[in-house]
Amino acid sequence: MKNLEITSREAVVKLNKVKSKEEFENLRIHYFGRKKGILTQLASKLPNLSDKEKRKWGPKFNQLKQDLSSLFEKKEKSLLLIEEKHKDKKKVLHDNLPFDPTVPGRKLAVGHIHPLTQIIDEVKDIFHYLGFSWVDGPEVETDEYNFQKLLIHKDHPSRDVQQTYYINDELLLRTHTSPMQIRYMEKHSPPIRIISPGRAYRRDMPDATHLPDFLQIEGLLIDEKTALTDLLGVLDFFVKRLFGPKSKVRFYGHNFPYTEPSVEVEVYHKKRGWIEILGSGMVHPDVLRNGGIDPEKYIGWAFGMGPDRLAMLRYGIDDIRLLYSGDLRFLEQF
Amino acid sequence: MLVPLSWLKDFVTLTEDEEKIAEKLLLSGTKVEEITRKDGEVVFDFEITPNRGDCLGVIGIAREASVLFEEKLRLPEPFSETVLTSRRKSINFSSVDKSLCPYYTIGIIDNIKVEKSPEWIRKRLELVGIRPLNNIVDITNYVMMETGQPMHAFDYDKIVGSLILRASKEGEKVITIDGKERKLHKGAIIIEDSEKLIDLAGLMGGENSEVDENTSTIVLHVPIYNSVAIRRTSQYTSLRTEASNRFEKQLDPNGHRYAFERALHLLKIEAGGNLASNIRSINYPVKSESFEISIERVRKILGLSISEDDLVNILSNLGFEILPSPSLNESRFEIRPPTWRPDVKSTEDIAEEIGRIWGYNNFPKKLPRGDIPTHEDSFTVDWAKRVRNLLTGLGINETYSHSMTDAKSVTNIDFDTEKTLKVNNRMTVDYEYMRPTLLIGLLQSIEINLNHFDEVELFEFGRTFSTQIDTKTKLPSQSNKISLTTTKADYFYIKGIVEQILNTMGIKEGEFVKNENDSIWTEESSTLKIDKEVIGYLGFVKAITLKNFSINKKIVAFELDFDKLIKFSSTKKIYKALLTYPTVKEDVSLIIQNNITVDSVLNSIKSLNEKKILNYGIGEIFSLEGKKSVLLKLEYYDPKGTMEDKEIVSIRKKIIEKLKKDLQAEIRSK
Repeated sequence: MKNLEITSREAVVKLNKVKSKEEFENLRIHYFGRKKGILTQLASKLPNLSDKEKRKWGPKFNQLKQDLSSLFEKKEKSLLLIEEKHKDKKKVLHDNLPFDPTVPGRKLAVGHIHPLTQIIDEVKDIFHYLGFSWVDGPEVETDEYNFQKLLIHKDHPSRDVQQTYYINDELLLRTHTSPMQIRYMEKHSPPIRIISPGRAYRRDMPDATHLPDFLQIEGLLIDEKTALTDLLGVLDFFVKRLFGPKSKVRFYGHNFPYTEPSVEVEVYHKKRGWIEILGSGMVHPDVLRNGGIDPEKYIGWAFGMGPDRLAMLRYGIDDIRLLYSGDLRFLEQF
Repeated sequence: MLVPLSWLKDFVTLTEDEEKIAEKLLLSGTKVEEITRKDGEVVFDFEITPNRGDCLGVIGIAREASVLFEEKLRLPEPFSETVLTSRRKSINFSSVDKSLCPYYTIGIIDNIKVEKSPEWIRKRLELVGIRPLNNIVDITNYVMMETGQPMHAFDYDKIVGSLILRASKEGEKVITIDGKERKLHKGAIIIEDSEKLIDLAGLMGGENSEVDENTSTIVLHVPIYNSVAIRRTSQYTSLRTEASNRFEKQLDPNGHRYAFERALHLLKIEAGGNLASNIRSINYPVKSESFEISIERVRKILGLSISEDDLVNILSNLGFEILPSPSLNESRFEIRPPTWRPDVKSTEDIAEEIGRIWGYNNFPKKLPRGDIPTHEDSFTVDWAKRVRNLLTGLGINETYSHSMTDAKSVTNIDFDTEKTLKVNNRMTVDYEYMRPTLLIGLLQSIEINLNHFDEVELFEFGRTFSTQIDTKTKLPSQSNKISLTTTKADYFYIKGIVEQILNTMGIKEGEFVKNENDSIWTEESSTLKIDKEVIGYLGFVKAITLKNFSINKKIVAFELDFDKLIKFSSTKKIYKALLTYPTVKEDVSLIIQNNITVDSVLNSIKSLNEKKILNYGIGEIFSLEGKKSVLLKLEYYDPKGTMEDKEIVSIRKKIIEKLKKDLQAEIRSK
């Protein structure tokens, strides 16, 4: 019985040295084992003691047993934590230490949605709010839909600008998402409000700002009563939703074969000044006609923008190739 | 196009600073890309849209500025001398096909002294990026920059006989002044004398008729060429010059005469030139076509209630003639555009002129007030978004890879390059084939990321392509796919993900059939079928494929046709009443032959059609004495009340009998 205190100290020392579940289990049996456990054996000696001794040792024994039980319990918990920690290496063993709320929380495995998807989803949401739904279309297109129906005839000067990948004489990789205007018009009657995100292709050498394959989002509205003022209002709203209500937007005249008038849109960037983000305009009456819509009755407007560029602007990415690099060190930042 | 501010100021008074001038021009559609300052000069770099051939000359820009700043345009007086001062010379010039050169001015100038140009011409040419050569060539270039009208001076004494302009024949050759021999296609515009080709018209002059230091007489030819023919030749020969860039656009059909006279004037002052022949102008002058517009329509397109006065004002400042409508309708006008604006042909074009000069930033901004459409796409569910959320929730990252790839990658993934869609005018070999599977990009990403990470899990949404023509769209098939690759190489992990996707998309019945001898997939892979239709593949990727992509870790992957998944998707979910009575759960250990699939066990129970079996599934499976031990997990329920033991015994017996009968299953005694 006199060894009680020694037993207690030994137990604590041994417990502290325990590193694995097995060691813990052995130690637990060593002290608490039903037959040969030290504490069990001590307990069996208690009834044989004199009353005086009982009064002396009884409470001490109970205290020791209680203390050790709670220490063992704690140890078991901390062992469980260590086990989990092995799954997640960055965790710190807090137990037996004062509580420190500044230790980082557990790092949970969360996947990241690609920044381009995030931009496209945001654009979809903004236009959805304005009653636009979204549709998808073919990336391998015909010359007819990509060019001719959009009034870009075989010898049109803008075919130079749009360096085109051809599959054969008739098939090509669409150079913009605008063929979706015609495809949608052909199958739907006004009112029409759609956006159409997707990939487009141009024969560009890859560099920090160009890729042979990139993304575009097309937008189209056709109705009996709409006007350029609606186009300007919608694009102004869009820019302010995407870049903040205080962002500065400006519109100026441009030229696209399939819109008349055509308007270019720029946003002001603190470091880089005015930056082109959108081309737009009133759908040319002949384009409406090519889509089977009566230009006497309906007015339309359309716009196109590059999500790659929007993502680069928004996140300060200086090389478009990063967006398609598949590098987790990049992807995990979004 | 580069234009020094000082040159602009020759023609229009501009008092504002260059930033303001640039901004005003830009907002009206004449975009200044850059302002540079050198040697005390301010130079604007303009981006001119292809419709504005008139703005490819300083005068064109000055005209725009004069309208925007409400200043008068001062044009240099053309030379109007018609009296011949030297002995008459002549040249016989004709075109075989009038459409190749519908308008031109030609004349002979003699008494020329070829020398270095005066400083003011040299300096301006240098500012606009043209290297000065000699006074004759420099003046033709100077006038081109000023008026936007290119021209060419031939050495009169090097010409033999008459000049003929015609379309080239296939394979004809000409040596241009840069010393290069150029082989021509059929249909380039060329000029020949009675012996030789002397000009690749619209692109570059011929070496054999070039002005040199001994030249004393020149033939000055100021043409308007067929823009399409010039463009084609420029593309065919890969030759782009200041001249061809202008001839490709629609130029002022009257501009050649003014440019000739302006050049003659400068030649007289700076090179001592005298007019030695009549000035012959063909199809000059012409009047542009007028057309009728509706003011109401202009207002309707713009959404702007612009007054008639404002409209007339803007148009007449831009040089448009406004006449009353022949239909005598008050809200209609007859408009005759100036000849330098052949791009303006309709009410919409007029709306653009009004809009850009009015300034789009000065327009009211409104939101559309029409009915919100209700087409089928208004009701589509963004399934990709839901699946993305599921996968990222599972800790997997989304990636984007290129849709174009190279031949080697196609072979590496065991596709046949012959059957893979490819472009016929690749720029580099890296971007030649259209990806037949997303796995190319994903495996490449895995390889890159393994340099930095122990485990890599990535998914991608995107189109894949094939040479097969889709019967519905008549286009090469290009279906949307969802694909995933992971280094957590466990078939049942990836199958679990696929099942979760099906679950998210409300698809109940997916069938996983073992792959037989499929390209990149090992034995431990399967085909997902829904309603007997193949949706895609999942499982282990073959070691040889991984080796092709330099991956030395095991990889499991899947690729599913997302368009097909959407076809089978459903948002339908029906609440099932919560259970009133306790259910009874029990496990039964079965022993079956190795070749019997778990699916057949489940199907066998299903076919019992026993209503009181609430749930049935599979627990652990392990190998036992050459057979398969399968733990069957059963849950019974009776909606009428707590089930009694004997009922349970009877159902269990039914199940066991059925499995014995169907699959020769044995029951492991407990």
